[in-house]
Amino acid sequence: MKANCWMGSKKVEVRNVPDPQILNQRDAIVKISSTAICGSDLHLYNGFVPTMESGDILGHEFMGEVVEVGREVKNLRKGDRVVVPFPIACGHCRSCEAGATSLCENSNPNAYVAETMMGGHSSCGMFGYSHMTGGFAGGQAEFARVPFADFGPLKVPADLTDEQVLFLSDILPTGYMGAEMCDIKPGDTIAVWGCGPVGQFAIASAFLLGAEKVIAIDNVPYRLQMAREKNGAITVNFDEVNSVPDVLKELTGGRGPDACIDAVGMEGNGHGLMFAYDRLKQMTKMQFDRPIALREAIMSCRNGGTVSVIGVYAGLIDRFPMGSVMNRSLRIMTGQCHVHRYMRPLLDRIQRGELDPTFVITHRMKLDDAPNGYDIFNRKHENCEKIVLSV
Amino acid sequence: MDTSVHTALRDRSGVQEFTKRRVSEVPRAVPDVPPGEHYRPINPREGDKALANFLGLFSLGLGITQLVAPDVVTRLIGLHPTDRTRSTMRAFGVLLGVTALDVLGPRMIVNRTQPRPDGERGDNGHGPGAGGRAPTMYGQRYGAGRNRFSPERIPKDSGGRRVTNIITINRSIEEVYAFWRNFENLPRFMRHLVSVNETGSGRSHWTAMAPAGMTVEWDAEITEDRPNELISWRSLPGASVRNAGTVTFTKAPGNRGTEVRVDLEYRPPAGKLGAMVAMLFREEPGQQIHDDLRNFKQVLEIGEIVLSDATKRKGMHPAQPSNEPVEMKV
Repeated sequence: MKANCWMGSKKVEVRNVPDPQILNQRDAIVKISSTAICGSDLHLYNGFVPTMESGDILGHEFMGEVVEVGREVKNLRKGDRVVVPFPIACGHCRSCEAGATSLCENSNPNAYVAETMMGGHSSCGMFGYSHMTGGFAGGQAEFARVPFADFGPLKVPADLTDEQVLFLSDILPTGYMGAEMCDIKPGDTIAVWGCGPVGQFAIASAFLLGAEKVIAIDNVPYRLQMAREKNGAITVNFDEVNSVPDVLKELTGGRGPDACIDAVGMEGNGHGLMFAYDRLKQMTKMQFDRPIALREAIMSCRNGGTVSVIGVYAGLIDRFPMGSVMNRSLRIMTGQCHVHRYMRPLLDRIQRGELDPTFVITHRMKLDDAPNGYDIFNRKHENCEKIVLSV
Repeated sequence: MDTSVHTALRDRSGVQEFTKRRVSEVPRAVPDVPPGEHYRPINPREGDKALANFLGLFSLGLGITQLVAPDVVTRLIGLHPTDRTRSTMRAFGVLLGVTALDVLGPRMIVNRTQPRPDGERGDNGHGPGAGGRAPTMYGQRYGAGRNRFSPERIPKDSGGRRVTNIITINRSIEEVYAFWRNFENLPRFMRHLVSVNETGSGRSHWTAMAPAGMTVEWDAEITEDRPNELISWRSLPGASVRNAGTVTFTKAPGNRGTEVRVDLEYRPPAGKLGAMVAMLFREEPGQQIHDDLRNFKQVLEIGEIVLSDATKRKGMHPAQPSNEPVEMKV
């Protein structure tokens, strides 16, 4: 089959590889109809995530038709159309039973690698996201092997197109969880850093959950435009202002936003001395991540507010404003999205017309064009917001 | 239901509220280190110390050499000695020496008291009732003088190593104990084992994989078996790798499953260096036990060990399907 493989930093190639097989009895093989490139795939593309190997198949947002099931899968049959959540979760450990599926205790065969990097604990296995998360082949391919198929994949109705439901695999639940973690009360003002697809869904979800004002921060004009036009956010371009925290205070009567969502993560951009410092430390491998947006989110948040972190971080960061957090009673909520528990409620919202996720799609390509897609997504060319690859 | 620990706690003033909540007839979690006890490590902390001492002494030696024989060092690094190199070298020598003394100093001056691993119950005497303590559940489980910290069955100075690992499994204690007690099940989650056969009267015959595709076999016997509590075993004389261990089962607090703890003592065939080499291949028993307990959890919670494209065979290979046979068992 054809598959998009990571071949090195800033290098992906569509290659011919063998078809996947059933390895465990709760597996299913899915023939993929649509898949997408995620912002977090760019961290892999740019070489920021360790434990990648040349030939790894990328992609963790995919959907398609079930073509084969293992012996123990009773709820899916050949022909079912499913969307597959990106965290791989077993359903029987305490974390899964509690709904925290991105913390599944059994789905990462390389748990010891993750444990080395995260102080003795591993998170779940994931599709197409380095050997640290298990080394599972990803979904930017014609077929994928889906473990625990009786627990993860969601059957979707025939009257919804692929584009309408594909994002249930990752970015829509992630944005939603980012907003949900803010514990939004009526009248709240929420600030969102990052106007990529996840940020856009966080903005939309914040409004759905009752926010009165949402302020979106980025420096890419077409992305700010989307936040304004499609979501009704107030936009701030951080390249135009001296201090984002000051601007946010101005926009919130001097208080600061009630909650701040970091939908940027480890490849944050900024300007000035702090950004130069972060880039230098990252280049000399003294710091994995560039937490510019995170620092700003913390400094901007009102006293007693919540900082909700859905941007992806990989390692250690420097100059973290812990004093601001402690002395001002801030609450930090974070995590890889526990996609499983949001899929059905969000599908219901889509069916009821409350939410149309297709607004983020700007490019539609074929799987063969994936390398080009990564390039324009990475460089934010052609007003690229989200690319959907049809297989 | 043992009540001696309750008596001990009740006798201390100020903890009556605590005991009122804890005493009950419902089976409760029995912690490895009960409330009021101090944690004592199986392997006392010393690794850092040796390395730090070595680095300190090396730096001191180098610094002194730079100070008294600067030209020697200058030539060693490929430069031609001049007046300027001499003074620079001496300055660095002083710097290095001072830093080295800073590292070595506290260790030479302060005599750190190591925790005694030999199970002496007398601690520093802090807290009331430390002297005349009633025997606690902790001491009772392992018997007087024969607790986790008692002199090893394989004495440490003979090159033996101790490792310990613990995991929590979302299953009842009866289910977990029963699965482990049937030794024929062990190869299902201990991947380096080929087979274990019980030969009667607590004895068993074990076959394991060794490097280069060979197998190694030995006999073992159960020294203690307390259902739903612990199983202790040791290899019989003549075993190629002497080993002994105990697996304990305790209910996790709050009814959150079962805590399984393995204490393993073994003598690495090639000594400490061999153990370090084995670590590179993740073949060192301490690491293996860690992986085995994870596999145990998977087998009990989901019935299989989950494989991924990158882990279905040994060795480095990309996360991609392949036509090669699956090597790792589920």
